[in-house]
Amino acid sequence: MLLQIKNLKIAYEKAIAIKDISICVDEGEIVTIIGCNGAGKSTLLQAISGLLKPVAGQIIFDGKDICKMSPQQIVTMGIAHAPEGRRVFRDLSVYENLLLGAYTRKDKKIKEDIERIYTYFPRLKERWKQRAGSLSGGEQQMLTIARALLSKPRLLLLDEPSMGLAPFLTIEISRIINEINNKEKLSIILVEQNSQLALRISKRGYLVETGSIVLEGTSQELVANDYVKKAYLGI
Amino acid sequence: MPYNALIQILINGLVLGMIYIFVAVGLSVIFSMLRLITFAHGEMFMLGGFATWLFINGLGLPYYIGLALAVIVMFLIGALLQLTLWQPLQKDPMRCLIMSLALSSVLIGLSNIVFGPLDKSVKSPITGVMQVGNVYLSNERIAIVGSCLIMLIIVIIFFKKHKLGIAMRAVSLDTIAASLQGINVKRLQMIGFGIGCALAAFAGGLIGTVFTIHPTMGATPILKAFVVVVLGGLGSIPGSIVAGLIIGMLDSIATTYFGSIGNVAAYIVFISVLLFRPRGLMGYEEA
Repeated sequence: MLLQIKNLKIAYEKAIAIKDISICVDEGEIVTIIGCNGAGKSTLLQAISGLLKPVAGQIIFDGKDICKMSPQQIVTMGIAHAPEGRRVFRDLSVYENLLLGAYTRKDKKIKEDIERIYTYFPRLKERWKQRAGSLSGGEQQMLTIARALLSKPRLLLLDEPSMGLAPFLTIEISRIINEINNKEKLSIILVEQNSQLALRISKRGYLVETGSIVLEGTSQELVANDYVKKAYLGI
Repeated sequence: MPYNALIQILINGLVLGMIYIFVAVGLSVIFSMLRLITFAHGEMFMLGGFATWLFINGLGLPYYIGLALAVIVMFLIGALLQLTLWQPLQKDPMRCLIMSLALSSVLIGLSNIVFGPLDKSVKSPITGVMQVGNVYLSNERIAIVGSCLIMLIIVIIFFKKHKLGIAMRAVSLDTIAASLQGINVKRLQMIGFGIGCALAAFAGGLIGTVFTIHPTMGATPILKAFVVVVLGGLGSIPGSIVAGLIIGMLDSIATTYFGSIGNVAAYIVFISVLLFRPRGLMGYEEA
């Protein structure tokens, strides 16, 4: 097991964002977390990457509890987070954004790696000199994912990669996510409001409502579930 | 004679402009990385002057070695001040502002006690004049402009090409996204503050040979540097460079022809530009 979260509880000031969540992720699998806006999905990812400190519970990555670690240490351990809303460094070039993705790496293969990552995102290669803020929404999303990949993660956290993108772009992004999962042999936690898309590319899924997990299972099971169908897939 | 005088005025303007640029770029780096406006920055300029004076006149070190040491010492002092005074207050910009005002007064008072209020000057390593055609140029001032240009190039290359410099620009754009890349934001902010102070100190040290060093010498440059930073566009280093040169030239020309009332010229231009371009010459629009 690559990541195991046990009875996690997170509070902002006094409001409880996550009541009690336990999930696990195996090596090489895509796990999705679906739920409405405000259910606690992004909060969960922020806790995994060390931006938020839990009130209770454990986050065990590769056998070590990472709850007390700083975001820097967590990146070095092999977790990369492509945050919600893309958050590229707007006034930096595409290439500089990618270089910073590899900030914690000490090896000499960063340039080769950037070239390799370009094969997934040829559009970024064409625009490597451009200001990241001048890219389109879809390109910025690709840059966010590419930047996260450059830290050579074993676990990739993707927060709402389809947000604000045209349908044909969400299909493109999901194709790339699948390709990355196959070729890079990394595990992915995909947080999405677009449940249909998320369940199509993931192996397993969890349904989160107001800070707790209300349903879990393989993606086929979730798609077939009456409640999920009615409330989240609109069928 | 008018031609010769004009050249002199331009050279003086360049020297002034360079001084403003360094104080302003330091302010700009600190503002963009920490969203902090520090009124103690003029005192970093002043301490840079005194540190240079101590190393050169006190310890008898060669000029450029003394200056380099002063810059390094002020980098360390700046980083230490950020760590101890500002980092604990970082969540509250108002307290940070007041802390900087307090520090400014304390440093002026301390320098009065330690160094005394009398003017000091650093002995210049370069003397004489250079004749180009029928124009006489002071070697010393040319050396100052040259040193400033070299330092500016180093600063620009650092922020454009060095991994640390690029990471510092990232911190100034988005601290959360920066920490998700594994960048230690707090540490870089501390280093950024140190760099800002070191740049002001560099200007303070250089000026010791042409002007004098005294505890309140920071008051005018800090005011002008704020004008330069805002005129150039908050947080934009190229903007600060252009604006610094403009203000330096204006000061030099206006004070030559109109005496000390000429200092107003810079503020008039400043206000007029902001009326038509509130984000400054090269500032980005908030996205």
